[in-house]
Amino acid sequence: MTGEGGNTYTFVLEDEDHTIGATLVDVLNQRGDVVFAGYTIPHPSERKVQLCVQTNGEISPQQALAAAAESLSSMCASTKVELERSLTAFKESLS
Amino acid sequence: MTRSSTGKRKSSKGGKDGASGSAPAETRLERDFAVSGLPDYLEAQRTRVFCGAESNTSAKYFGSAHSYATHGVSNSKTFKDFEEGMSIRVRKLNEEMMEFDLIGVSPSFANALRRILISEVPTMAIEHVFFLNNTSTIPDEVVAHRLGLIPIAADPSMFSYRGDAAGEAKNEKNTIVLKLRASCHGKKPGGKTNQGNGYGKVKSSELKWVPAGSEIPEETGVNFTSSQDTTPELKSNPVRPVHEDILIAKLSAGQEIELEAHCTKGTGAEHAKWSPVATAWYRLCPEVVLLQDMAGGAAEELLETFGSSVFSMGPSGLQAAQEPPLECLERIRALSAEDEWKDKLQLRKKKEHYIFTIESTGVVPPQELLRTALDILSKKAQGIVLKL
Repeated sequence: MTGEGGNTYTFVLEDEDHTIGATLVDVLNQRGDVVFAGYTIPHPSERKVQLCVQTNGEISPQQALAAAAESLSSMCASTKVELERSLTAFKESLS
Repeated sequence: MTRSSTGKRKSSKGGKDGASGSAPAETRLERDFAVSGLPDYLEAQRTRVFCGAESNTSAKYFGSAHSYATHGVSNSKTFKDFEEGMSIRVRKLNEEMMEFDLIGVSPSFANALRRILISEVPTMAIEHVFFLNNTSTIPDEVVAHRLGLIPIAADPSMFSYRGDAAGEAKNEKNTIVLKLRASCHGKKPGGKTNQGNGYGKVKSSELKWVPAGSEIPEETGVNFTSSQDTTPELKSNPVRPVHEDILIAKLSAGQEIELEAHCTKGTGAEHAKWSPVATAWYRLCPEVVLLQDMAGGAAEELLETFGSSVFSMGPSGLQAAQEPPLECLERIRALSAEDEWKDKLQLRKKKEHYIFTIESTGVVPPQELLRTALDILSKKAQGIVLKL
């Protein structure tokens, strides 16, 4: 991970692609304390994502990214709970 | 729709009822994902794609917390908001296919699930084929390629990945051995009088599981320390091809194929044969909006053209169905482009409402694929937290 210091930081995610790049950028942008979040894949044949985060100074870019990743992980967990609920509801609607 | 939303995203139906015919088109909106304090026209743009005659407008996704900063409105979304706004409703489910509504997630989240389903959920597929004999007209490598594409019903969670290329030995934990022996006995070469195996068609049902491991271990380097059918899960659910009638080759009289095939665990990212889905896709939920209160001739014309699946007559005039059938959508779009109708009718799509379809190859049930996909995405996110 490389940075420019201060409130702006560019992270390099090794062995990742659009799947995590786009989702993380979306979750980061939803935060009020993130001023900018964006990603690029510098070369299509290298599995590498550059993720740039700028915060308003209330938290560091590292903290913002960690919080966003945690949040994304929780989103998956809560989607899974909702999936189980809907599957049960679907089975009940059949019987 | 069975959406339950609370908090600041709670619906407020303000603005809609006040519109009486002459109001701007955008104010006609069922405010189900309302961000409080946003004017109606912006709220419409935020939540809907408008389907025009030549192109769609307002297709952009307004996901940033600062999208409406100039209006003094915060568009930020916390995990709690996500939890409250997100819902799933299963529409269809069987062993091979699942269709469901995914509501209240960003496009990137839905797309991440789709991408993971196609290329990152693992399955078992034939990777190495050892030919003992092949006198058919089909070259070894073509047969091997065809074999690779046959979905093999084996629970991938029972097996581990085999380490880098040939680095790790093949054993009962990472390899499934199948064998195939087919020959064609007949009088006339290629004729209809061939006996035994029909016309000499070799089908996927000829692939037989060898739980004890390779029968030619010196050649293949596969050594099982124990037979796979001693595992209760594999014993009760033996490894077999998902479909029994996939044509592998056609044999003429006197020709035969004898081979041993080894399955390994892999993902669709390396080769599509490991992809657990035929495909996985989503579309946005369509919506027909009547921009004016309609009664009389125009209403009857719509009822007559589209029938009761799209429109119905309510106490206060014509009403549009919650979700119009797929086959009517393009006709509605075309009609809404005509001068006579453009002020009366509009086709829209809901931006955060996806109709998601997973078509499994039959190896793993679709709902299980979705669970695995969510786990994989979660693990990716956790991996980033750990590396920071």
